[in-house]
Amino acid sequence: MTHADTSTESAKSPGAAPELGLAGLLFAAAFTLALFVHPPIYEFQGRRPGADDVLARVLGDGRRLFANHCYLKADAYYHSGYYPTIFDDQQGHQTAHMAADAGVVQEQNTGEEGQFLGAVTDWIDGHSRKHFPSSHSHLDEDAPGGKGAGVEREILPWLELSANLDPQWVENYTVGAFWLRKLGKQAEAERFVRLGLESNPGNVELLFELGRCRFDAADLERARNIWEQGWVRWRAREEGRPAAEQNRFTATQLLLHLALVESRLGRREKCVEWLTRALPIAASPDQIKKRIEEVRGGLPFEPIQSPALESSGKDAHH
Amino acid sequence: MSHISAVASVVILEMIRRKDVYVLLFLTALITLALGAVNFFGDPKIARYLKEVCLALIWVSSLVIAVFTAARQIPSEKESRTLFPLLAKPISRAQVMLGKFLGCWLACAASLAAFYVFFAILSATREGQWPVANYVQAYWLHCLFCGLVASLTLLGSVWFTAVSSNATIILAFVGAMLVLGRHLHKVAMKTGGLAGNLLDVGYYALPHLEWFDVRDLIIHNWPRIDWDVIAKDTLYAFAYGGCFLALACWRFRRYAIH
Repeated sequence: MTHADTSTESAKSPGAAPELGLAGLLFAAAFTLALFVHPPIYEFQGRRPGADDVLARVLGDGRRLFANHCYLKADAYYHSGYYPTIFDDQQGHQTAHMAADAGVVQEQNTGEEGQFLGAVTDWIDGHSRKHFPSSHSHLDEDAPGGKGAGVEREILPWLELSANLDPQWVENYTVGAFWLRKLGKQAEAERFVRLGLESNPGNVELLFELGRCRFDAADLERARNIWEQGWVRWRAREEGRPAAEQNRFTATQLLLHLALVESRLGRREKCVEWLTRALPIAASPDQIKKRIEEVRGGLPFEPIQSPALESSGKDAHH
Repeated sequence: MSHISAVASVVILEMIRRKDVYVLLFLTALITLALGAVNFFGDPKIARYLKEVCLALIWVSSLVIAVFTAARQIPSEKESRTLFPLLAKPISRAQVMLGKFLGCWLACAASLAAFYVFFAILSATREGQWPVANYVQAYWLHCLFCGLVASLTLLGSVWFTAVSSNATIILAFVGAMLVLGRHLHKVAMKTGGLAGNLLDVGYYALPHLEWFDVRDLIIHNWPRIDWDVIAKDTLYAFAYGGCFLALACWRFRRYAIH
């Protein structure tokens, strides 16, 4: 029997056609199932960005520790390396200075921030201090390298890394966005905030920051809409809580910015309305009362001593 | 002196033949350049994170080179039985020990020079500046650090039986001193009692290796250190290195070769 004969016989064998048919059917079923399953999975991943992240898989919840380390590293860079260790007095560094200076968190530092090393105890200590940064400075003010040289950019890699490690930590995005805006990188700042909003949909702090991005871009109407949305979210989130537990810092910022944007848009009544709303929750109501009187008297609303407002005000003027 | 330099040259030749330094330099360059390719917010001028990573890798590499080069000198001579013919020559044991130290130190200094040249080029491409005096200071302090570590490791190599145990103990000690060195007194004050007193003794007696680590000053572009501080550091390192080498020579004289 030749080889050709054998092939013809196996092709004609009664079991071949059903096997091929079954394989075809399975292939078609698998293809249909893939088409059916893929969009929901894609959508699910979209709701949880980073779900397929290698770092998240490898480190698990431990990545939050690393995120915290990176965040502190960014603050240490903000001080050009002059930063307390666990052995030093950390009273003056309970809130990261880069965040407090950005106006995105309420500062809770006490004591002298620049004196955590204390007095020189002996000659070893005195000599040792000549080998590491031992004087207080901030990158945007008086750091080695010079003010105005844009050296604030050096904190950004650590903030991005921290945000990658812990996407739910909102402060990374708000602080990063503030310094990006200060460096003139408005588009990157907005992109970074939107990345944060993907992981934290409807977050009030991020909405506030997004509004600041639009405000800087002179898109006042949109900034107002975003801040109004933030105010609605804040009320939904915080109004049911006891007064002591409410995040009034963010609410005050939102309301003052809403007043600012209404003032810029020439709507004096709305400006007064937002300021009046800020009165019961603001830390310094007397200042706000004074501003209300000024606005009613025809003066434009100007930023109140707040780094956040000051920055936005300055940038908007530019 | 010629005996010492002859032994030292053999150590340097051995390091040139071995691939450790090349591999470490290659890995340092590879990791740094890979990290340098990461784009953060489209800003090509961000440099300090890269400097930090590069210097950290240089420090780890130098520590590995110093400890493992020095740790295997005497034990490998003993194991391969080349110590007998060496000592049969008109050379004292102290000269052998000093020659080994000099060789290790110069080998470390030479490899460090290559590392720092790479660092300086990398830093200049990002920041566009050449703070040569700062780099020279950092390099010299780093060399002093390697000398101290090498002398301490040589002392350990005639004290501990195995190379691995010696290397582990030295690495742990150096790591602890780099991290805790300047805080020992504070910890001692808080601890109190006998433990506090012991920590205080350690604070005053142990070599402060952290003085030679000026990475933060380099990373954050602080002004250079005063030269008299560098001179004091040099004297300090020579004093401690001399003590360790004297102890190593003393111990080596009683060292059982068989």
